[in-house]
Parts: sequence; structure tokens; C-alpha cells
Amino acid sequence: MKLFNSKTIAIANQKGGVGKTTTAVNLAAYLSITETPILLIDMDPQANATSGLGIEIDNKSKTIYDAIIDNASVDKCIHKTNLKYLDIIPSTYSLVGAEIELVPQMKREDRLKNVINQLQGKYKYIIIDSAPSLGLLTLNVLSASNSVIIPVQCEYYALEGLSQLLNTIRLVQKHLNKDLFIEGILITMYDNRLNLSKQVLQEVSEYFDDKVYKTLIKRNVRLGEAPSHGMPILLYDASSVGAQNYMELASEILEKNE
Amino acid sequence: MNNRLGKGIEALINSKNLDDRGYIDGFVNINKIKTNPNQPRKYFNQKSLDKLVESIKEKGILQPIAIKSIDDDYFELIAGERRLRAAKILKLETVPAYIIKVDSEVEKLELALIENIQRNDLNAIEEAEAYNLLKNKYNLTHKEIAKRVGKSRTEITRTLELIKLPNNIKDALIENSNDSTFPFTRGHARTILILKDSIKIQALYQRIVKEKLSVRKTEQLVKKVNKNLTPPERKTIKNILKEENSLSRVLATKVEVSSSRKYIKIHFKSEKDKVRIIDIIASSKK
Repeated sequence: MKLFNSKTIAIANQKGGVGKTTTAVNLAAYLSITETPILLIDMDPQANATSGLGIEIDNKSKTIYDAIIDNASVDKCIHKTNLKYLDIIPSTYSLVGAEIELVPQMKREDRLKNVINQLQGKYKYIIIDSAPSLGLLTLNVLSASNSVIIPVQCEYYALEGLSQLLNTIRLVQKHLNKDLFIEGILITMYDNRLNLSKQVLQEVSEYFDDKVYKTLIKRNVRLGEAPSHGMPILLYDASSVGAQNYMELASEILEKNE
Repeated sequence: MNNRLGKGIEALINSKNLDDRGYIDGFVNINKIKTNPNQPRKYFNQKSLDKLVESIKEKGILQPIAIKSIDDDYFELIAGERRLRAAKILKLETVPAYIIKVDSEVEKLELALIENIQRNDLNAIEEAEAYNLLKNKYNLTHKEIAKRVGKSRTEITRTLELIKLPNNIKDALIENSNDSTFPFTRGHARTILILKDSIKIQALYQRIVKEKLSVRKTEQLVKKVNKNLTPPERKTIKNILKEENSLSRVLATKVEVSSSRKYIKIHFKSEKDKVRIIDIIASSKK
């Protein structure tokens, strides 16, 4: 049954700690409150998006690992969350091994794509949180996605990593997924008291122009606290600056996609 | 004075001999009545229906229902769906009824509406949907609707706005229409509709319910969210950085510019540095 024209958006940046998981979890949560089904796929072996939504994995739970490596039925890997319209395919530490297990396989970059193809039409948006690396897992993510959101932390190193990531995206476009495009660049951990923040924003804006989201994710401690309570920010503290920022981001993305 | 009645006694006429269909002395056979597909009331509260059943069991139906004749065999219900339901639950054979002469569908809906509105019995969403039907299906203007149901035009327009609410919020309003402790009211609904953006409406709705926000507080939040819509423009940041850079190059010190707070701040490292900077500024004066 096809209900929606699903769009798959990857949240990617090989640099760690730039706000990928925070963005994936909170963006997915805010998109889901308009009562359209949203799926979050956790493709990071650290499984932070999984625990951040309060999902507990035991030996019997099926995860993205089972879907990719063991060809488990996708429906069995989908878990419900505290939000009615948000589902998740969780991750688990064993996904680390997947990088190696995939190597000898045919079409190893297309494993995730095949999984997502089975879900066509069931969800309006599929958001994928990726691992902080440019390995086979991230290639799978980029090959399976329609577009990619790149969170950029307001630090100099972030700019360095950006050019590497753009190269990877170009390679993916050339060999695996010619339709992949950059959905947007998201400035995270912005602090308007710091010149560094302003300058990173200026640099990125000059290069990427209107690809940079108007919404800036400000540094906000509530965003850091929410995962330890297993909740997205909108359930943990809807009045916080972080909640406001992600709400604005979700509506900016919806507006661009309408 | 506004005409609150809308319809007078002239609507309640009938002279046909209707005995064939079981209309005897103001009572009509319950099986001969079909219900109105456009019935404005959609939600029937079970508790209040139970109460009505109890009261009818004790005292009978005191207020006759209103019906119109549709053909030789059947009547159609205009007003009194709850009473009719209660009568069916009690397995009554006949109910007291007025037969009303209705010329058009609009009139039928109008009568059903007026009945309910005058008893203040419809919830906000049912009322809005009924007006919407009058507006779209029968092409009545807000002003015309206002006149017919005996309310002000602004009231009609405001109520019609509620149609735009997302379905889950409409459902919540309907389900909780008899629950005075439910924190989300018509006033809240009108206020959050100012936002227009579905994510923001939903986010604020959840907060209102969870934090039991007042309408006043909701208004403040709506204002705050709308203000955030125009964040410090990227361009001004760019310009300010340019200004700061050029000034700090000339003065060889850190300079801060704020357009919003309207200041230019020049830093100095020591007394000597201060004198140096003042000299530069003074000397630039021709």
C-alpha cells in the first residue's frame, strides 16, 4: 500500500560531535507531530539515537543490523517510540562488525537501499542518522538517501572536514547515487557571543549560500540533557531554546519541500 | 434587538392528512423517521445520552422532535436526534413530533442548526462544520449565515476559522467539549491558528495541554514564535563583521559593533594603548 512519496534524508558528517544524532532525533520528532508517519533509522553503531529515544535493545530485539546483514524482515525491525507517529529502526553495537561482514558481499553499498525500498510509501520522511566515519556504513546511507543534511559545528575543524565530506558526496553521486543532493547545511552549537561562531557562519554562508538553513541551532544544555531521559527535546523541555530551534528547522525543511 | 428565534410559528404548519404514515395526535411511528445525513451534531456524548434515556423513561418525551415529510411513507428528522436515539434505546413505538414544512435543503440544515445552537448544544467544531456546509454547499455568505442563526458576523467568521485546525486537535476539542478541566479551549484554538505553520501549531498545542497554559500565556508564546521568524538576518551579521574588521584594522584593536543595541565598542589593552587609539580617532578628524 503506497500512501506517501517517501523522502529519505541522511544526516551525515564524518566528524563526531557535530550534532548529527541530536539533529536526527529532534528533527524526526518535530516532523512527526504533524501526524505524518516518520521513520528514524539509526545507522551509528554507538546507537545514540536509539537510546536517545528511550528504546532499549535486548538480545531478541531486531535492529538495523539484522535487516542489513541477515536480511531480516524490515517490519520486525521497526520499533514504536513515545511519539505516536515516529517509528525507529534501532541500532546496536554489533553494527561495528557489519563494516567487515559486508566487505565480501556483492552490492555491499546497496544493502540499506534495499531495506528502505521495502518501506516505500509507508512513511513521509525517513531520517537516517549516520556514523561519524566515511566507511561502508556511511556509503550505504548516502547511497540509500535522496538528500543529505550536513550539520556543521561552529569550529574551525568543522570547515576542514566539510571539504572531505563534499568529495565523498561527489564520489557517491558519480558511482552510486547520481540523484543525491545536499538538502541543507545546518549550523549547530552556535553561540552569538563568539566571533568564531559568526565567522564560521559567514564562511559557510559564502560558500553554500542559500543551502545554509536560516535556523541556527544554538548551544543549549537542555539538548544535551534530553537523551539521558530518553526523550526528544519536544517531550523533555518544549520551552527550551533547543526545542524552539528544532521546531523552526522542521518547519523550514517542510516549507522547502512543499 | 437581534431576532434570536430565526424561525417563527409559520414554519410549524401542516394540514395534510398524514394518518397513513402513522401520524396520530402529534405522535409518529418511530420506524417511519429517517435521520438527516447533514445533521450538524456529530458527537454524541454517551453519558448525557444515558441521562436522557433515564429522564424519558421516567417522564416521557416532553419536547416533541421536529420532522418533515419526504414521501408518502417516510418522514425525515430535522431536530431531536438525541431524543430519537433515546426513544429507540427504550424501544418506544411512537414519539411526539411536530411536522415542519421545509422548502429546501438549506432550510433543513438551518433549522437543525438553529435548534442546536439555541440550546448551546453543539461543540465548537460541529458548529464550525455546519457553518462551513452552509457556506460551501449552499453558497451562503458569512453575513447571511449570521443573520439566519442569529449571531454576529464576526462570531461566524471566527468560528469558521476553526475548520483549519489539524484533525487531531479538532478531535480533542470534540471529545473534551463537556470536560471543563481540559486545558485546550476555543480561545486557545483561535490563538494558535495565528501561527499558520502546522509544526508550530502542533508543538504549541502539545505544550498547552501538557503545561495547562492560559490563553493569555498562549498569546505571548505565539508572539514570541512569530518574532523568531525573522532572526537576525544573515546579511546584517555579514555587514557587521565587515565593519568590525575594517575598524579594527584602522585602530589595531578589537572592535565590536551591535546594530540591535546600537553601539560601537573599542577595546584597549593599557592606558598607553587607550591614548594611542584616541590619537588615531582625533587625528582622523581632518
